[in-house]
Amino acid sequence: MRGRSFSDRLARESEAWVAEGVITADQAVALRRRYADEEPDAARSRATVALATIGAIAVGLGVIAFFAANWDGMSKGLRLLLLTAAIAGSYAVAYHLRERTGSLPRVGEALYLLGVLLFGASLFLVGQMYNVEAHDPFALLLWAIAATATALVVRSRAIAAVAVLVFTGWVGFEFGLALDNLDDAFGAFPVAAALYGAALYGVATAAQEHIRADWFAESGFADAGRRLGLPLAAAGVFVLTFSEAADELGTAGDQLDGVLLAAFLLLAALALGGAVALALGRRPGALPEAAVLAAVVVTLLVAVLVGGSGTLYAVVFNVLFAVVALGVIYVGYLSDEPWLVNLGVVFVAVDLIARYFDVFWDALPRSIGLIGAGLVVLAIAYVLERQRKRLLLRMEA
Amino acid sequence: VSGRRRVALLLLVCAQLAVPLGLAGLAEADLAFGEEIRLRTQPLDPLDIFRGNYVVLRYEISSLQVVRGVRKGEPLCADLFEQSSGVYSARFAYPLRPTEGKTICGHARNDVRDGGTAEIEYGIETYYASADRAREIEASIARGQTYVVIDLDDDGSARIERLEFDE
Repeated sequence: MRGRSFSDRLARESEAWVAEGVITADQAVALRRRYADEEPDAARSRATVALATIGAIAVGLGVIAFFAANWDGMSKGLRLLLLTAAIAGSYAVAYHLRERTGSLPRVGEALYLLGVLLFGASLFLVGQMYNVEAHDPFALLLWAIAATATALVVRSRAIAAVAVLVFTGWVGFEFGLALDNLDDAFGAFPVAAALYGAALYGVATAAQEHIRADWFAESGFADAGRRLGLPLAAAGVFVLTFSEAADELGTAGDQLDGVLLAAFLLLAALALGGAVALALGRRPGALPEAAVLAAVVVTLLVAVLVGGSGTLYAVVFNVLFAVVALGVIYVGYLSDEPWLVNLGVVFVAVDLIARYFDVFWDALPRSIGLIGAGLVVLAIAYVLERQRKRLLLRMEA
Repeated sequence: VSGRRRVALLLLVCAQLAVPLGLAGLAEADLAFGEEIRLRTQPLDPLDIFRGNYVVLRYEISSLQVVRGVRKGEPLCADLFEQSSGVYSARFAYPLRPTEGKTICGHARNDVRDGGTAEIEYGIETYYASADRAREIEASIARGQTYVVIDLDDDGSARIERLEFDE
């Protein structure tokens, strides 16, 4: 199981090897001792990565704040010089620490990340410097392209995650602006989020399944896409479980045409393509996973393009969200991925709490409602924690 | 690190340096070659989540009568005339750019019928400033008339050069 420590697995496996006569009991003890000291190193390594990454982000934010605070005290030339020197400097030091000497690879990776963050900041700061009123999302697209290229060249999973995040920001910004420009179409935004999330999760999972090249597995793009896509898709569907939001779909859908409609259809096609590719793969639980993905996409498309009763759609999306939440736990269990199980548990908890407030909040006196809500949350926490632990233990076994 | 990856990284860093420098170069070229004119303005002061403090500027020419109806987002060009020394204004906006005279072009913010009044966005509606500078601008605005000095290009596009105050 991914995530389980190497020494735990070795302990279990070595017992089996002794039982099968592959090695002696003494050899098993020697093997366990040999790797026993590696665990603290791994923990320290993770802590170093976390600290270095937090440091890089803090420095990046600090640079932006510095420019904002000292804007008028510096000439444009000096601002540009400092910005480009900061970008070049972080890449140069990163290269020295990680590639040239190899002395501090994790700090080096964090400095590569800082370089990417500073590049993104420079796009907005230059825009500000010259009062540019360009198409703002375009800066996010440029940033995402640069981050993707950097992640591939320096082979950094952290930068790959930033690239996926910024790309998602670009997609969201474009949809937000386009829908906001129409008279009453913002109700379609959760559909766009859900379709994009489904496409991201479907394509990333299928890519992880079908692209076997080492560089792709190490790049971290598929992993980042799955971990961002799934919550995004679920969030979009979750919003539509409320009848007030589902009611907006018909009106919003009537206004979609041209490029915007094509963008919705493209996302749906990508998600369905991902579902088909998933179904054709050998991933455990691939068929139900692909079926749920396809069902979500088709329902979203019908809701936004055909329209109809908002109350009926709210019921349908409630059922879909429950299927997604339980399906994520099931697929996580089958495919040996604890993060999916944990995420599914969170979806179930959020759904139960939301339904409680949705149904009982207005019907009960406020104090009774609060006491009830607290008891429901505690009960959910108790049941889910027990079930989640049981499930994870069964996965380990 | 392989030689190819080293070269790729070098090219990538150069590209990431070239993009902000290139954007700044293009902006400087616009400012250097455009024709400087002044427009009367009325600023507001919101907060941009991406770029810190900025002042939203509204002009006399932000709202003009159109001869022919236009849809939201379609191009509109204002026929500028000199109102007083160096200060320009306009009365009408046209979907096609007039061939003579000074013209500033933007896009309609709303659907308008023939003879109606269109709200027009020219791309010169935000002026960025630090928190301190924004406070100074606010105080100056309160004391008198504000002008925006813009650089107008031959194609009707414009870029803000600076703010001026008539106190």
